[in-house]
Amino acid sequence: MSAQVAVTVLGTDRPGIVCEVASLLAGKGCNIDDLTQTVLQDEFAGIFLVSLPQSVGSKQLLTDLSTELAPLGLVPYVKSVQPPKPPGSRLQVEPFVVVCIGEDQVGLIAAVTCEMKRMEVNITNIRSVPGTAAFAHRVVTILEVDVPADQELQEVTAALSRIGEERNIQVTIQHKRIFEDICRV
Amino acid sequence: MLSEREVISTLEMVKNENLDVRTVTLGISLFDCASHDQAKTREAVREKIVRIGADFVAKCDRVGAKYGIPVVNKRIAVSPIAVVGASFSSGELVALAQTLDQAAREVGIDFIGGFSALVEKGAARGDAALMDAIPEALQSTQRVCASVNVASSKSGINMDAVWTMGRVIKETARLTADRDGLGCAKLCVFANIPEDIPFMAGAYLGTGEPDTVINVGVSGPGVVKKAVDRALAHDPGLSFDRLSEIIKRTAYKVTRVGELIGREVASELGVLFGIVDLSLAPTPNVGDSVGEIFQSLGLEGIGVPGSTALLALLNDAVKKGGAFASSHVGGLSGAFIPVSEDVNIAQSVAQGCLCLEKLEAMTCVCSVGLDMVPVPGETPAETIAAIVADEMAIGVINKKTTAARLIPVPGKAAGQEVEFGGLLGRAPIMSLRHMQGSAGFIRHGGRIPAPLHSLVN
Repeated sequence: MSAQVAVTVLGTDRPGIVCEVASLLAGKGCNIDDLTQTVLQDEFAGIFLVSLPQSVGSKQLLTDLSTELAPLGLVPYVKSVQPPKPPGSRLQVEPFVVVCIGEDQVGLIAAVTCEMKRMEVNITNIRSVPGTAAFAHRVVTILEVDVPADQELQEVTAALSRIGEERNIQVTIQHKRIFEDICRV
Repeated sequence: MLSEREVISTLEMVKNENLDVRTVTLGISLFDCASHDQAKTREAVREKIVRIGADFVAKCDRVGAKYGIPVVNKRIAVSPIAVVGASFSSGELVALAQTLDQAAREVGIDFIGGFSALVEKGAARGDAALMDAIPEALQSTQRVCASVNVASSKSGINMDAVWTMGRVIKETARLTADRDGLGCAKLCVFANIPEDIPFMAGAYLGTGEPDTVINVGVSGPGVVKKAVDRALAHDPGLSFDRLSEIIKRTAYKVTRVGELIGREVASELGVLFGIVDLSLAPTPNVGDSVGEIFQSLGLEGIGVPGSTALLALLNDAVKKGGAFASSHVGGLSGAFIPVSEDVNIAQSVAQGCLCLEKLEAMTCVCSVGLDMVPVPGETPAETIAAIVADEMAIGVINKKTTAARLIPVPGKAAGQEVEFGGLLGRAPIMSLRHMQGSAGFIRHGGRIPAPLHSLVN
């Protein structure tokens, strides 16, 4: 095994996509090291972290996958992957959960995430869900984020509150542990 | 990765159901401050409280902001002052109470507990001086809370102390008559007092406790009520087995919050984490009431027939869920039923659903006892003492903590309303039957012997 690549596959969701992609990769001697998939409404997106055999290059893999997946209605993309940073070199961060609740509006996600970019807050997961009984007729956007340990939480809270006031939405930020501790044994 | 349900349900508990940490209480031992010299003791007490408690409020606020869970009350509990100041006169102990008040003001907390004595088997000189000092101490301070343990299951009931406390309660009410006897709201008489209560007015730091410790009291009546309401909306015919399970799970969640916040505050302060007190603590706000849970479960109001059984169910489920959630549970742990601090319980009194006798019966299965009960100002000290004795007997025989926090409101009669403000709330004054009928009994004095526990029935 040599280089590792990320193979992204997009398409309309249906049964069999992961099977088809995994079978093609196995046929070329590629090992799947890690994978994840998500489905938004009817759109499928899957990412496969793959170790390539010596005989296969990333360009060749993309060409082959494009040809083979096109009849199945799937679009691949192949990207080289940098080796992961050793644990000690990573930025010290604290995990928080930001929740925005309000009426759907153009530019809301951009406003929140750009503020996070300014404060070097990294988003590790984001999704929007329809409101529950308690938050009826509103969109709930949940962002799991890593806040740098040296970043004042007060500043992050103030910035998010400001966006909330400007856009008439409720924005909260809470440490992730509170959700885990309350909900999980 | 968190699920949407985990995030949204947690958010609902915090934002819509009044989930908070009701109190984080910093325990500080003052035994190393004791000296024969009154001035030296007072200075050592002030210095130690201010040194250890200086960042306490700020750290609680910071941890609360980090988790998005407000820490409503930050308090301090100290060693029983009757022991710390055992060699002092009652006048000197009043001065020591004022020092505690000053130190509490300096560190920005609203209550400091521990102006306390343990006299279940008899009073030493310091204990007697402290009981004498209580009325003036509570009249001349704003933040000091007092408690006296007059009974235990192993020692019986010290009826001399009970009679003394009847007079102390009356005198405290008289000295704070301009505030409707408010001083009595800061005074508890206990049987089987635990050493680690984080809730006022009973909080003190017991002799078996560390030098400094954080104890946490959670809240949660609103959260329990909403959980019950949701379940019943989905299935109105739910059995008590299922309802108990729902309350248990809710208590688990609430307790986890308390433990998480408490441990982090303790870590930030560099002190030990003690216990989580599982008590459901109401406030005078609508939606944050133990009494409302009774209505959700089908009773017209707290106090009507069925109330004792329901309270037993509630208490047990809260303890089961909480005990699973935390490694260290202590304090009182159950459901408080304070009359004036719970808007729904106060309404039940006004509507005639709840009388003193039924309240007393319910204290057999609740976590504390007769709590924040306003009674007519003309109630004799003997009658006050007799009510206390009844409540102590319930604790002693049932091997549980009980307490009496009675407020004979000067100049007011049964049915009139009294308002203490803030968390202490408002309530109608409860009527007492046979108000003059206990004098001969109380004046016997001595000690009611400890009960035999091997022939239980």
